[in-house]
Amino acid sequence: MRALFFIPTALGRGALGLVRELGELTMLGMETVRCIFTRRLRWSLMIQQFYSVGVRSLMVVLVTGLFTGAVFTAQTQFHFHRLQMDSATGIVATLAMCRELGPVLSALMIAGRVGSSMAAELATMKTTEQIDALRALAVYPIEYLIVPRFIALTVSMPLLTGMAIGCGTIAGYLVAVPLMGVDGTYYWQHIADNVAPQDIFVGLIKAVFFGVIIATVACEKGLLAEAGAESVGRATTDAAVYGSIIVLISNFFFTLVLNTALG
Amino acid sequence: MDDDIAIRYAGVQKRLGRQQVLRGVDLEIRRGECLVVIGRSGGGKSVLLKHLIGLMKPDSGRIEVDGQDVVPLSEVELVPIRKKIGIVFQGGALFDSLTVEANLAFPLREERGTPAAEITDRVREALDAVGMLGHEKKMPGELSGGMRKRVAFARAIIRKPEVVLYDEPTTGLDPIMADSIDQLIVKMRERYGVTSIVVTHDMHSAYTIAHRIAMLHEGRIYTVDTPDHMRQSADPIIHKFVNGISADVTDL
Repeated sequence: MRALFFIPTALGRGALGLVRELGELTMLGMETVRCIFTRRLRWSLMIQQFYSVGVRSLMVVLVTGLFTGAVFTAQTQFHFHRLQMDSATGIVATLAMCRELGPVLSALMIAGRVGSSMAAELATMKTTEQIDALRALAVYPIEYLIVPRFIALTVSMPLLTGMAIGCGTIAGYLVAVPLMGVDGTYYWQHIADNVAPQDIFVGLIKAVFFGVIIATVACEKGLLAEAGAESVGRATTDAAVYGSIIVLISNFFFTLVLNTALG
Repeated sequence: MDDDIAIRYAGVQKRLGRQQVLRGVDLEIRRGECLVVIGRSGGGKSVLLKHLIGLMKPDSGRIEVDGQDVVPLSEVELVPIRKKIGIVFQGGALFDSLTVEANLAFPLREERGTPAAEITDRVREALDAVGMLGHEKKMPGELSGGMRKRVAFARAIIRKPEVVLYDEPTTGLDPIMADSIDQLIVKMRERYGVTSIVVTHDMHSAYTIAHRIAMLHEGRIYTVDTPDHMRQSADPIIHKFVNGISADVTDL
């Protein structure tokens, strides 16, 4: 009898957990946005976060963009060369970098590097009562801790993604033209003719939302950590894993919506 | 309303998970008094303190500070109450990304409008009071447990609060350091007339600093009495606790 109910019970628990998780994320996101408009912005903390989130992630994102562009271009060129479509390599690689690979891979790297460290920092503060201490000193933790991280990540993400796209495109050119012998003039001309500004916008708009997602998930995981080192570890891992999964799933919907809206 | 009462708990109940931690706590703390709350570990003493400044909300009951019920207040409405109360957390809860000096200046900077020179003076004054002058530039990670507690103490008093809450201030300290913390609490009480609530299970410390001792037992205030009466009590529950006698085999 017990076995009969095991699967529906497990499914029900999973569904409830998902709804609760989404509810908590939404509430934290809404409270953060409310705080941005109703409370004072702490510029010095925000600048610190821009450095920690943006500047210190630069190398990771640039390397990601550079090698993703290089590998994707090489792979595309190998196959297109057989079909005698060498001149289309640049278009495909650049479009892929702008619309999908640039924003998604940058977001995954940031979820791993920044999301996890944000969650670990907040979870440690929670378990050592530093967040309680903030509240006891009449400082609202969302205003002091979450808003600067949220804004820094939301603004940094499109900037980092833009750089990843730029690096990927340049790397693609370097692989296709000097290395694999594609004609340079045709390569650029086809890109100029077929890649429009909205292709870049699609990538940058996605990046803004990915920044919102990664920051909200990381902050929620950090703030909800319970006492103990294990809880800090779990918050850190969950922030990276859930952040990445939500980025990947939401990317599908963003692609559908943005392609319909912007073409 | 009795003007002499600074803080009043009335029928406070709180459940955490499956455990009913507080089962109807009734307690009054007089203005300028040092009340020590004793009780078993995990018995809800820290929970009691956290309710007072709205870090936790009770399931039912009233908690009054100067006659005002703090239970229904929002985070914004709690700000004036929190400014009146300083708290020394069990582990210090110093901000580990800030230096000792910045930790102490933090509450003053948050008030905005306090001149920088005054902040510097008050930081020095508070550090001097706890014997930590010369450690301003250190990070909390570089301090020993006792030093961290003393800095936390200085941070709690820097806004000159009317009430100071101490969560196990001497736990984990050597006897000399524990005594120095006790002396600080007595000094605060005598020099500034602050109302103090100290949560501890260190009986030596309780006898040194308390005007009255309240014993929290099974989620309720079992008794409130003077240190001398508690020490001489023949009540088996009080006697066992204050003399540190564990349950014998038959009890188990």
